[in-house]
Amino acid sequence: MTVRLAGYGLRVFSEYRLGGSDATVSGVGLSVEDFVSEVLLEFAEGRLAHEASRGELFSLLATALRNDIVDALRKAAHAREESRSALPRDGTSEGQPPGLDELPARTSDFSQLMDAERYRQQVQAAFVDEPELAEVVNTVLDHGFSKPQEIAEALGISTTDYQNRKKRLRRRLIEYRLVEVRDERADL
Amino acid sequence: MREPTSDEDRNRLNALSESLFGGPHEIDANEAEGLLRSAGIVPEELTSNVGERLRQRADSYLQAEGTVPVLLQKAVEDLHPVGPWLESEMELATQARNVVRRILQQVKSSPQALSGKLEITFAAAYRGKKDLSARDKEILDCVTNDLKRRIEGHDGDS
Repeated sequence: MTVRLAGYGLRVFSEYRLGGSDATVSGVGLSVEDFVSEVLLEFAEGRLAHEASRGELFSLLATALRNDIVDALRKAAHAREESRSALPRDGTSEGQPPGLDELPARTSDFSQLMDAERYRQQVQAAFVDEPELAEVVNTVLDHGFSKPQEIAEALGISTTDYQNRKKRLRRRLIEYRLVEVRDERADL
Repeated sequence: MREPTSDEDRNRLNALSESLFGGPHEIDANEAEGLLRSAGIVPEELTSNVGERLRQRADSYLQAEGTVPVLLQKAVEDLHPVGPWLESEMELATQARNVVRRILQQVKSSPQALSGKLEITFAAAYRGKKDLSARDKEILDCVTNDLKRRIEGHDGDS
Protein backbone atom coordinates (compact mmCIF):
# COMPACT_ATOMS: atom_id res chain seq x y z
CA MET A 1 0.00 0.00 0.00
CA THR A 2 2.77 2.46 0.95
CA VAL A 3 4.79 1.78 -2.20
CA ARG A 4 1.71 1.99 -4.41
CA LEU A 5 0.72 5.29 -2.85
CA ALA A 6 4.24 6.65 -3.26
CA GLY A 7 4.30 5.56 -6.90
CA TYR A 8 1.03 7.35 -7.49
CA GLY A 9 2.26 10.41 -5.58
CA LEU A 10 5.39 10.50 -7.69
CA ARG A 11 3.26 10.50 -10.81
CA VAL A 12 1.18 13.42 -9.48
CA PHE A 13 4.40 15.26 -8.65
CA SER A 14 5.57 14.71 -12.22
CA GLU A 15 2.32 16.05 -13.62
CA TYR A 16 2.99 19.28 -11.74
CA ARG A 17 6.58 19.51 -12.94
CA LEU A 18 8.20 18.12 -9.80
CA GLY A 19 10.79 15.42 -10.42
CA GLY A 20 13.61 13.49 -8.81
CA SER A 21 14.06 11.66 -5.52
CA ASP A 22 14.45 14.86 -3.50
CA ALA A 23 11.58 16.77 -5.07
CA THR A 24 9.45 18.82 -2.69
CA VAL A 25 6.62 21.23 -3.13
CA SER A 26 8.49 24.50 -3.13
CA GLY A 27 7.55 26.74 -0.23
CA VAL A 28 6.11 24.01 1.97
CA GLY A 29 9.04 21.61 1.57
CA LEU A 30 6.92 18.47 1.48
CA SER A 31 8.11 15.38 -0.39
CA VAL A 32 6.23 12.37 -1.74
CA GLU A 33 7.19 10.53 1.44
CA ASP A 34 5.71 13.35 3.55
CA PHE A 35 2.44 13.23 1.67
CA VAL A 36 2.22 9.43 1.87
CA SER A 37 2.90 9.47 5.61
CA GLU A 38 0.30 12.15 6.17
CA VAL A 39 -2.44 10.45 4.21
CA LEU A 40 -1.81 7.13 6.00
CA LEU A 41 -1.98 8.98 9.32
CA GLU A 42 -5.20 10.70 8.26
CA PHE A 43 -6.71 7.29 7.68
CA ALA A 44 -5.18 5.59 10.73
CA GLU A 45 -6.36 8.37 13.03
CA GLY A 46 -9.87 8.32 11.63
CA ARG A 47 -9.67 11.70 9.90
CA LEU A 48 -10.27 9.99 6.58
CA ALA A 49 -13.14 7.53 6.61
CA HIS A 50 -13.38 4.65 4.19
CA GLU A 51 -16.72 3.17 3.21
CA ALA A 52 -16.32 -0.11 1.38
CA SER A 53 -19.38 0.69 -0.71
CA ARG A 54 -17.55 3.67 -2.22
CA GLY A 55 -14.65 1.76 -3.73
CA GLU A 56 -11.37 0.27 -2.65
CA LEU A 57 -9.31 1.81 0.13
CA PHE A 58 -6.34 2.46 -2.12
CA SER A 59 -8.38 4.66 -4.46
CA LEU A 60 -9.64 6.68 -1.49
CA LEU A 61 -6.11 7.20 -0.14
CA ALA A 62 -4.69 7.98 -3.57
CA THR A 63 -7.38 10.58 -4.23
CA ALA A 64 -6.72 12.14 -0.82
CA LEU A 65 -3.01 12.12 -1.61
CA ARG A 66 -3.56 13.90 -4.90
CA ASN A 67 -5.80 16.49 -3.25
CA ASP A 68 -3.23 17.07 -0.48
CA ILE A 69 -0.51 17.66 -3.07
CA VAL A 70 -2.68 20.08 -5.03
CA ASP A 71 -3.67 21.90 -1.83
CA ALA A 72 -0.01 22.21 -0.84
CA LEU A 73 0.80 23.65 -4.28
CA ARG A 74 -2.01 26.14 -3.83
CA LYS A 75 -0.87 27.18 -0.35
CA ALA A 76 2.71 27.54 -1.50
CA ALA A 77 1.65 29.67 -4.46
CA HIS A 78 -0.46 31.94 -2.29
CA ALA A 79 2.30 32.30 0.28
CA ARG A 80 4.76 33.29 -2.43
CA GLU A 81 2.24 35.68 -3.91
CA GLU A 82 1.77 37.37 -0.55
CA SER A 83 5.47 37.55 0.23
CA ARG A 84 6.17 39.11 -3.15
CA SER A 85 3.45 41.75 -2.78
CA ALA A 86 4.57 42.50 0.79
CA LEU A 87 8.06 43.38 -0.40
CA PRO A 88 7.85 46.58 -2.45
CA ARG A 89 10.59 46.98 -4.96
CA ASP A 90 13.52 49.11 -4.01
CA GLY A 91 13.21 52.39 -5.90
CA THR A 92 16.83 52.19 -6.98
CA SER A 93 16.25 48.82 -8.68
CA GLU A 94 13.64 50.12 -11.09
CA GLY A 95 14.47 49.13 -14.64
CA GLN A 96 16.93 46.50 -13.51
CA PRO A 97 16.52 42.74 -13.91
CA PRO A 98 14.15 41.19 -11.35
CA GLY A 99 15.54 39.75 -8.11
CA LEU A 100 15.44 36.03 -7.37
CA ASP A 101 12.29 36.40 -5.29
CA GLU A 102 10.64 38.05 -8.25
CA LEU A 103 11.40 35.30 -10.71
CA PRO A 104 8.61 32.82 -11.31
CA ALA A 105 9.23 29.57 -9.48
CA ARG A 106 8.57 26.24 -11.26
CA THR A 107 5.24 25.96 -9.54
CA SER A 108 4.71 29.51 -8.40
CA ASP A 109 1.54 30.45 -10.17
CA PHE A 110 -1.07 27.97 -9.18
CA SER A 111 -3.63 29.27 -11.62
CA GLN A 112 -1.18 28.44 -14.38
CA LEU A 113 -0.61 24.99 -12.97
CA MET A 114 -4.35 24.42 -12.97
CA ASP A 115 -4.78 25.90 -16.40
CA ALA A 116 -5.83 23.24 -18.87
CA GLU A 117 -3.95 24.81 -21.78
CA ARG A 118 -0.71 24.98 -19.83
CA TYR A 119 -1.19 21.42 -18.60
CA ARG A 120 -1.69 20.36 -22.20
CA GLN A 121 1.50 22.09 -23.34
CA GLN A 122 3.54 20.56 -20.54
CA VAL A 123 2.25 17.07 -21.20
CA GLN A 124 2.74 17.36 -24.95
CA ALA A 125 6.31 18.57 -24.45
CA ALA A 126 7.08 15.48 -22.39
CA PHE A 127 6.10 13.09 -25.18
CA VAL A 128 7.25 14.93 -28.26
CA ASP A 129 9.92 12.28 -28.95
CA GLU A 130 7.56 9.35 -28.47
CA PRO A 131 5.14 9.21 -31.43
CA GLU A 132 2.96 6.41 -30.06
CA LEU A 133 2.56 8.14 -26.72
CA ALA A 134 2.13 11.58 -28.27
CA GLU A 135 -0.69 10.07 -30.31
CA VAL A 136 -2.55 9.10 -27.12
CA VAL A 137 -1.94 12.52 -25.57
CA ASN A 138 -3.21 14.36 -28.62
CA THR A 139 -6.25 12.13 -29.01
CA VAL A 140 -7.29 12.64 -25.39
CA LEU A 141 -6.55 16.36 -25.37
CA ASP A 142 -7.99 17.17 -28.79
CA HIS A 143 -11.20 15.19 -28.54
CA GLY A 144 -11.78 15.23 -24.81
CA PHE A 145 -12.43 11.50 -24.76
CA SER A 146 -12.50 9.91 -21.34
CA LYS A 147 -13.76 6.35 -21.86
CA PRO A 148 -11.03 3.79 -22.58
CA GLN A 149 -13.10 2.20 -25.33
CA GLU A 150 -13.60 5.44 -27.28
CA ILE A 151 -9.96 6.47 -26.85
CA ALA A 152 -8.79 3.07 -28.08
CA GLU A 153 -11.17 3.24 -31.05
CA ALA A 154 -9.98 6.73 -31.98
CA LEU A 155 -6.41 5.44 -31.87
CA GLY A 156 -7.31 2.36 -33.86
CA ILE A 157 -5.90 0.05 -31.21
CA SER A 158 -7.34 -2.39 -28.68
CA THR A 159 -8.17 -1.26 -25.16
CA THR A 160 -5.37 -3.54 -23.91
CA ASP A 161 -2.88 -1.68 -26.11
CA TYR A 162 -4.26 1.60 -24.84
CA GLN A 163 -3.79 0.41 -21.24
CA ASN A 164 -0.21 -0.55 -22.07
CA ARG A 165 0.44 2.83 -23.58
CA LYS A 166 -0.90 4.50 -20.44
CA LYS A 167 1.59 2.48 -18.44
CA ARG A 168 4.38 3.70 -20.71
CA LEU A 169 3.05 7.24 -20.40
CA ARG A 170 3.38 7.06 -16.59
CA ARG A 171 6.94 5.79 -16.76
CA ARG A 172 7.99 8.21 -19.47
CA LEU A 173 6.52 11.22 -17.66
CA ILE A 174 8.54 10.47 -14.52
CA GLU A 175 11.72 9.92 -16.53
CA TYR A 176 11.14 13.12 -18.47
CA ARG A 177 10.79 15.18 -15.28
CA LEU A 178 13.92 13.59 -13.88
CA VAL A 179 15.93 14.65 -16.94
CA GLU A 180 14.30 18.08 -16.90
CA VAL A 181 15.31 18.65 -13.28
CA ARG A 182 18.87 17.44 -13.94
CA ASP A 183 19.20 19.76 -16.93
CA GLU A 184 17.92 22.72 -14.94
CA ARG A 185 20.37 22.01 -12.12
CA ALA A 186 23.21 21.70 -14.58
CA ASP A 187 22.30 25.08 -16.04
CA LEU A 188 22.48 26.81 -12.65
CA MET B 1 -5.27 37.27 -13.48
CA ARG B 2 -8.31 35.03 -13.20
CA GLU B 3 -9.47 33.55 -9.90
CA PRO B 4 -7.23 30.54 -9.31
CA THR B 5 -7.95 27.01 -8.21
CA SER B 6 -11.63 26.36 -8.43
CA ASP B 7 -12.69 22.80 -7.73
CA GLU B 8 -13.97 22.77 -11.28
CA ASP B 9 -10.45 23.36 -12.63
CA ARG B 10 -9.07 20.67 -10.43
CA ASN B 11 -11.74 18.15 -11.38
CA ARG B 12 -11.22 18.85 -15.06
CA LEU B 13 -7.50 18.27 -14.77
CA ASN B 14 -8.05 15.15 -12.67
CA ALA B 15 -10.27 13.76 -15.42
CA LEU B 16 -7.67 14.60 -18.05
CA SER B 17 -4.97 13.05 -15.91
CA GLU B 18 -6.94 9.82 -15.56
CA SER B 19 -7.54 9.58 -19.29
CA LEU B 20 -3.86 10.10 -20.01
CA PHE B 21 -2.15 8.28 -17.18
CA GLY B 22 -4.88 6.11 -15.69
CA GLY B 23 -6.65 6.11 -12.35
CA PRO B 24 -5.00 5.22 -9.04
CA HIS B 25 -6.23 1.63 -9.24
CA GLU B 26 -4.24 1.10 -12.44
CA ILE B 27 -0.90 1.30 -10.63
CA ASP B 28 -0.04 -1.98 -8.95
CA ALA B 29 2.73 -2.52 -6.41
CA ASN B 30 5.23 -3.78 -9.01
CA GLU B 31 4.76 -0.84 -11.29
CA ALA B 32 4.87 1.61 -8.39
CA GLU B 33 8.14 0.09 -7.22
CA GLY B 34 9.59 0.47 -10.72
CA LEU B 35 8.43 4.09 -10.96
CA LEU B 36 10.02 4.92 -7.62
CA ARG B 37 13.31 3.28 -8.53
CA SER B 38 13.38 5.07 -11.88
CA ALA B 39 13.23 8.35 -9.97
CA GLY B 40 16.00 7.29 -7.59
CA ILE B 41 13.72 6.53 -4.64
CA VAL B 42 14.44 3.26 -2.80
CA PRO B 43 11.03 1.74 -1.99
CA GLU B 44 12.38 -0.18 1.03
CA GLU B 45 13.79 2.97 2.57
CA LEU B 46 10.62 4.88 1.90
CA THR B 47 8.49 2.16 3.50
CA SER B 48 10.79 2.04 6.49
CA ASN B 49 10.71 5.83 6.92
CA VAL B 50 6.93 5.96 6.68
CA GLY B 51 6.69 3.09 9.17
CA GLU B 52 8.96 4.96 11.55
CA ARG B 53 6.81 8.08 11.35
CA LEU B 54 3.69 6.07 12.11
CA ARG B 55 5.45 4.36 14.99
CA GLN B 56 6.46 7.73 16.44
CA ARG B 57 2.88 8.93 16.21
CA ALA B 58 1.71 5.73 17.91
CA ASP B 59 4.26 6.33 20.68
CA SER B 60 2.98 9.84 21.25
CA TYR B 61 -0.57 8.47 21.52
CA LEU B 62 0.63 5.89 23.99
CA GLN B 63 2.35 8.47 26.14
CA ALA B 64 -0.48 10.98 26.03
CA GLU B 65 -3.51 8.71 26.22
CA GLY B 66 -2.17 5.32 27.19
CA THR B 67 -3.66 3.76 24.11
CA VAL B 68 -3.17 3.75 20.34
CA PRO B 69 -5.98 3.99 17.76
CA VAL B 70 -6.67 0.53 16.40
CA LEU B 71 -6.02 1.42 12.75
CA LEU B 72 -2.78 3.17 13.64
CA GLN B 73 -1.63 0.14 15.62
CA LYS B 74 -2.39 -2.08 12.67
CA ALA B 75 -0.61 0.26 10.26
CA VAL B 76 2.46 0.25 12.50
CA GLU B 77 2.43 -3.55 12.56
CA ASP B 78 2.02 -3.72 8.78
CA LEU B 79 4.93 -1.35 8.31
CA HIS B 80 7.20 -3.08 10.77
CA PRO B 81 10.65 -1.43 10.69
CA VAL B 82 12.28 -4.54 9.27
CA GLY B 83 10.28 -3.99 6.11
CA PRO B 84 8.99 -6.58 3.66
CA TRP B 85 12.38 -7.10 2.02
CA LEU B 86 13.86 -8.24 5.32
CA GLU B 87 10.79 -10.23 6.19
CA SER B 88 11.28 -12.30 3.06
CA GLU B 89 14.91 -12.85 4.02
CA MET B 90 13.79 -13.97 7.44
CA GLU B 91 11.24 -16.28 5.89
CA LEU B 92 13.96 -17.83 3.72
CA ALA B 93 16.17 -18.31 6.77
CA THR B 94 13.31 -20.01 8.62
CA GLN B 95 12.69 -22.36 5.71
CA ALA B 96 16.39 -23.20 5.50
CA ARG B 97 16.51 -23.94 9.23
CA ASN B 98 13.51 -26.24 8.91
CA VAL B 99 15.10 -28.15 6.04
CA VAL B 100 18.35 -28.62 7.97
CA ARG B 101 16.40 -29.71 11.07
CA ARG B 102 14.51 -32.35 9.05
CA ILE B 103 17.76 -33.70 7.58
CA LEU B 104 19.36 -33.92 11.02
CA GLN B 105 16.32 -35.77 12.37
CA GLN B 106 16.50 -38.27 9.52
CA VAL B 107 20.20 -38.84 10.15
CA LYS B 108 19.61 -39.33 13.88
CA SER B 109 16.82 -41.83 13.26
CA SER B 110 18.99 -43.77 10.81
CA PRO B 111 22.67 -43.72 11.97
CA GLN B 112 23.69 -46.09 9.16
CA ALA B 113 23.15 -43.23 6.75
CA LEU B 114 26.25 -41.58 8.19
CA SER B 115 28.40 -44.74 8.08
CA GLY B 116 27.27 -45.55 4.56
CA LYS B 117 26.26 -49.07 5.65
CA LEU B 118 22.67 -48.95 4.68
CA GLU B 119 21.06 -52.29 4.06
CA ILE B 120 19.04 -52.06 0.90
CA THR B 121 16.07 -54.29 0.48
CA PHE B 122 14.34 -54.57 -2.84
CA ALA B 123 10.61 -54.64 -2.70
CA ALA B 124 10.06 -56.36 -6.00
CA ALA B 125 6.61 -55.15 -6.94
CA TYR B 126 6.57 -57.28 -10.07
CA ARG B 127 6.38 -60.44 -7.98
CA GLY B 128 2.72 -59.76 -7.23
CA LYS B 129 1.84 -59.36 -10.89
CA LYS B 130 -0.27 -62.26 -12.19
CA ASP B 131 0.11 -61.54 -15.88
CA LEU B 132 3.88 -62.11 -15.88
CA SER B 133 5.13 -65.32 -17.32
CA ALA B 134 7.67 -67.47 -15.49
CA ARG B 135 10.23 -66.42 -18.07
CA ASP B 136 9.53 -62.71 -17.44
CA LYS B 137 9.91 -63.21 -13.68
CA GLU B 138 13.15 -65.02 -14.25
CA ILE B 139 14.53 -62.11 -16.31
CA LEU B 140 13.41 -59.58 -13.73
CA ASP B 141 15.01 -61.63 -10.94
CA CYS B 142 18.25 -61.57 -12.88
CA VAL B 143 18.08 -57.80 -13.20
CA THR B 144 17.35 -57.50 -9.45
CA ASN B 145 20.28 -59.69 -8.50
CA ASP B 146 22.56 -57.80 -10.85
CA LEU B 147 21.55 -54.50 -9.25
CA LYS B 148 22.16 -55.92 -5.77
CA ARG B 149 25.61 -57.09 -6.77
CA ARG B 150 26.49 -53.71 -8.25
CA ILE B 151 25.41 -51.84 -5.10
CA GLU B 152 27.30 -54.26 -2.85
CA GLY B 153 30.33 -53.85 -5.09
CA HIS B 154 30.02 -50.06 -4.90
CA ASP B 155 29.82 -50.24 -1.09
CA GLY B 156 32.93 -52.39 -1.07
CA ASP B 157 34.83 -49.85 -3.21
CA SER B 158 33.96 -46.99 -0.87
